[in-house]
Amino acid sequence: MSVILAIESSCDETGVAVIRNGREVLSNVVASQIDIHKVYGGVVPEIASRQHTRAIVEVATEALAEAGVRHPGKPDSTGLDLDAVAATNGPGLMGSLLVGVCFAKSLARVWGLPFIPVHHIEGHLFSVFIGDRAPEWPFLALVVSGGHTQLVRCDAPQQYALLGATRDDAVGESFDKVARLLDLPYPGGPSIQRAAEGGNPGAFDFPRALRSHDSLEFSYSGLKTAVLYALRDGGGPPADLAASFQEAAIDTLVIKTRQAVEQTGLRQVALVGGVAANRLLRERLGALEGVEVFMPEFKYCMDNAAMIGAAAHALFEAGVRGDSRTVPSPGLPLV
Amino acid sequence: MQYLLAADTATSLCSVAVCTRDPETPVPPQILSEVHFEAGRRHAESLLDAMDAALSHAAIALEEIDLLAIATGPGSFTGLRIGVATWKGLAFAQRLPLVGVPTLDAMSRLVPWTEGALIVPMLDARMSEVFGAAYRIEDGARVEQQAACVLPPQEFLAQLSGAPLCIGDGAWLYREQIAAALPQAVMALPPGAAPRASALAWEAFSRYDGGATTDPGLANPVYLRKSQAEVNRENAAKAHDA
Repeated sequence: MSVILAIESSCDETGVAVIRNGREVLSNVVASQIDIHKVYGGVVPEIASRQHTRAIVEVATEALAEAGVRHPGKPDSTGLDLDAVAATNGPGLMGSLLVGVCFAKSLARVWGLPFIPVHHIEGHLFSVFIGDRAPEWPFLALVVSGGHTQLVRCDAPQQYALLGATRDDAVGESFDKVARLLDLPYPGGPSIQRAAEGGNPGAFDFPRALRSHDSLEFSYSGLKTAVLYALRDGGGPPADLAASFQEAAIDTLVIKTRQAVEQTGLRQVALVGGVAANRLLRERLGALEGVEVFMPEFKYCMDNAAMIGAAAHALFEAGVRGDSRTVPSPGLPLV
Repeated sequence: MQYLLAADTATSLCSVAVCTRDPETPVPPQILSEVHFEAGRRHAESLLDAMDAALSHAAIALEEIDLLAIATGPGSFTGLRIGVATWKGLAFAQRLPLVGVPTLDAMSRLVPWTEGALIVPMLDARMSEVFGAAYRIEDGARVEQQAACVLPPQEFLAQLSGAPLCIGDGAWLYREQIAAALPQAVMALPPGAAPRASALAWEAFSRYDGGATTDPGLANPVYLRKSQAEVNRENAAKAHDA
């Protein structure tokens, strides 16, 4: 049993959530900065840090009130008792991570609760444990976001093996870059998905990098360049370009995931990270034969604190603890 | 009695103090403890331990604290954020009022307020600039002559005249420029002129009495500098307009 208050501030979303037993989300508040960063075509680290610093108290206040837990510093407060405070401590933007970790350590100190530092990607992996249906260990995970494209063998909490990752751009990053080429707004994921509606995915034959390669590595820089050349050669209807790019990007993920299933024999696959919100990817991966796919709800694909709380529950049970001297690590490795 | 827990992490120094006063009397606050050390880039790992040390030396429990105060800058962006996020966490968790205190205002309390004095705190802002402000002591009160700003030292000094009392690491760093521009200037040398949480606490009590906001959500850093991305974007817009 555990009730955990978790904080996520690794990039441009300030999130605070309260979660029971790693599965039941009592509150999940996210203050997104997308509109602020949009005009720059991407996340500006200094602006992100400043926004987290401004937003954290309001987001935490809302999350605590909504969860119906007892405010430990409020004598007349009633409700469930909190057992721990958790925060993302990497990887991510240092200035942003510091805000969540410092705020969380203060809460833990004042309330006399353990502080649990959580790896951001382990948080994403645990997003599939939220709710009633969860995979059984060991399972395979496809982690796809603006910063990551990885196939991970998940043996137990904190025990992961990296099977393959991107050699260059992350898949979410390639959506952002291609969106810019096509004059579509940031972030690229949703805007390309929208632009691709009604487009012909077969109009352009964009490459599926490393398709017949045995390794489980990815490469996305060539795909972006192929779109650039197609534009230079006269282009075509934007919907066709967007649909053909999306088709190639998603196809590669599905091909590599199928190879990973064959190589490991693991038949349960978790699809996590921001790109897991892509409808085509959810549809294609879900259609893989003989594979049981676990996908978080859309709101748990994006950066959020509920997933950090879900991972923190497992770490809490395993006795993992940070302390007052814990500092974030922007390049924290998962394995 | 009123107990205040103050911290200043605007520079590489970590300073935490526990101060007390009787709000009914005009006597300056008493410093029960002050923990002060060179933290370098380790504010995030040291600050809570420094707080516990300060509380322990003062023999005061966190639960007995009535008021929190934190330096809001100008200063090191990272240092400010660590201090503000940590103190916001304390305020939120313990449901305490939090007063945000501008660093240079607090520094003006590091030196005696003699009648007519011109107190000029200056902090090294890197990039060949200083964070500076100037205060005149008139009829025992502090009057702001130059609001907190970030400027190259020569430009900042050009706005001053007479015999300022220059304090802070920026004053020490640019002492030659100060001597050249203002021959009558007086320098308060380190260590007395470094930001200290006890001076911040005094300033916080004064602001609290003056009705300053104590909403933890509003105790936000004042950076005085925009991010490079904002500067680039504004320059591009200006070039476009021209």
